[in-house]
Amino acid sequence: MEDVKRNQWVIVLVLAAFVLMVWSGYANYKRRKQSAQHQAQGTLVPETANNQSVQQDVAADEGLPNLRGKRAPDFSLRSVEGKKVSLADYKGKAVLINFWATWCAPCKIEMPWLVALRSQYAPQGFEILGVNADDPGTPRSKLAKFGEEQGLNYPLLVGDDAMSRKYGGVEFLPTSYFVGRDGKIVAETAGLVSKNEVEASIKKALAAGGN
Amino acid sequence: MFRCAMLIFAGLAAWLQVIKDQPLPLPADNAVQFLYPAQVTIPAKRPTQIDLHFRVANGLHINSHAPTEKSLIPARLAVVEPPGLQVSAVDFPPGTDYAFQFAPKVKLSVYTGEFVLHAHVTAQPGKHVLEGGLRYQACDSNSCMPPHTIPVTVTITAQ
Repeated sequence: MEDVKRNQWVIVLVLAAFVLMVWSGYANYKRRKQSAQHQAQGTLVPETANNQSVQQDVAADEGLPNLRGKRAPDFSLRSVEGKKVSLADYKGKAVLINFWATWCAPCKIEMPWLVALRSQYAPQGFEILGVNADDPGTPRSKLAKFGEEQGLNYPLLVGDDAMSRKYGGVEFLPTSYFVGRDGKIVAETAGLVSKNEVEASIKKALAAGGN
Repeated sequence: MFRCAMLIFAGLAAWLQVIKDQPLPLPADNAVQFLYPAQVTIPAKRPTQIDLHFRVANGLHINSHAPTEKSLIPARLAVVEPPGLQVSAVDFPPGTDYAFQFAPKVKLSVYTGEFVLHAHVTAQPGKHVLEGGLRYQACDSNSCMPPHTIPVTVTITAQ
């Protein structure tokens, strides 16, 4: 009788171990799949009340922290000229927070678009903050020179880990967050998207929380 | 038997905890893999070429050794010469042209798939461990990852 009871316990334990193994394997697979999807192409989905959940899924697929609809995390960084710049300085404006690096080829591709769009929409209250993601030791003068060479007409800020962590770690460049006038993030993209898509997000940011 | 089952159960639970807490590798870590050789035998005291094989992960590319723009980070191999082993040069293959979807006219020079570096070495008789690192900067079709270095280790027996 004792032996039968013991064997039953053994069977239960072995079954429990098996279930645990299957579950852990599946959970691990899911995490790794999500990590691989960080490389997925960034796509913007027009924001409407109906597709908000779809947007959240897209953000997750892009490897972004899904900050849409949330207040943009505040930060204070030095510009390449050494000036202190905070997101709060742009209260009431639509802001594009664009993470870039000197070594990032797709970042260079979108820079002329950003310059043109900044010129076009600045009179309506739009600004771009270019947050650099080069090595922390990169001289500010080098970044400033790069900005001059590219003809950039918006503030270039020296990013740091603490700031990028607030925006999900920023593993891929370019990464952009579009902040509405109300301070909430209306769109986010990881990777190069078309100029039209960038412009659509700028318009959305200008419309969000407007007077 | 009961004790044995308990031990197995405890082991599995511990293993589960380990894989749960294991940090996921960043994509840049996996972008390039050193394939082979792990060890090679060469003639002693004679200049010899060792081919180092690497593979860039599917869907990714890295800048070649000679990128088209100076701001781009080239693929570079840094090696530490142990006593008795000299590395006189490392030859990189030419890159292939690559353009991003939204800028078809902007050509980059990149490596994709498998590529081979030729290290020119001269070794004194004996066993030597050549250690180095391949530094690269990888991108996919629309975004880039920070530069990364992977270890390259080859055990060389010269006789």
